[in-house]
Amino acid sequence: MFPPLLACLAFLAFMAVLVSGNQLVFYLFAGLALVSAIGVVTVKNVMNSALCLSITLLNIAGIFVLLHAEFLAAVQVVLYAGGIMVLIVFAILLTQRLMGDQHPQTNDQWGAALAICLMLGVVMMMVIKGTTFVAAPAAASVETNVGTLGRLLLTTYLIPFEVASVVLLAAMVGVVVIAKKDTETKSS
Amino acid sequence: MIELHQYLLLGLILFVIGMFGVMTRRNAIGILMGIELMFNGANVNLVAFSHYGDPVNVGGQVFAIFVITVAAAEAVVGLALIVAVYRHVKSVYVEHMNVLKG
Repeated sequence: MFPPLLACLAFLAFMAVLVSGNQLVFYLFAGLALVSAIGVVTVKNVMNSALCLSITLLNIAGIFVLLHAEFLAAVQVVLYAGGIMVLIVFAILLTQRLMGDQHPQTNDQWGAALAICLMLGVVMMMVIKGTTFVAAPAAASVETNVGTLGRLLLTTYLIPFEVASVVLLAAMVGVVVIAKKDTETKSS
Repeated sequence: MIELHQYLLLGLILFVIGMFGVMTRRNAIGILMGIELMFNGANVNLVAFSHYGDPVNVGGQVFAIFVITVAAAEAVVGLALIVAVYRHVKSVYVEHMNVLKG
């Protein structure tokens, strides 16, 4: 069969022996998300970078299902991987003159940026490792996830909900104004 | 059993990778994709705290829904700006967008 596929299946079987089921799924989704996130920021072709971002977003939706946030996982797939990625691909197609442009896509400051990001990552990792989080008692809720979110959005978080619709309206109007072609008006 | 700090580390690494993308990409759309990665790192953090801290009133998930909403609006406006600037400057690379007067 296809050798890299065999290698992936062997690695998966090896991991399945070592870790329990829930942890295996978590490491699978998290590992794929991180590998394709690194692909987003490093590949040369911007269209390949957009496809890597789609893979990252779908794996994050899997992470949301692991966290018992099923509605949020569905929203992530529909809105992020299905809406925003289509927008990004359209913008890439509208602004790309040479297909397969092989100029380097990272600027000259990648060394300093890598140092800054590593420092931030290490400091925050030490903070996370050093904190003891108080876990709430796991209460079995009688509502579904969608029911809880619907109730909360219409009672406790009603004002942010309405403000969000105003934000979306303003974004729509702003996009139409910004992106339409300039029509020259000749002054008489 | 997956611990809370594993989810927090995942959110942190996603955020840091997105930050690296914002700081180093030349393509303006590549910078927007780094910003989307940062949003997703923050969302993972929010939903993890909602699951381990308050599973009954899922405030973190509501916050994440609003983050997705505002991120969608921001991505749309940012892409419209890039397309409008491309019409003038004829390039999407941010080192060519260095003159304020069109």
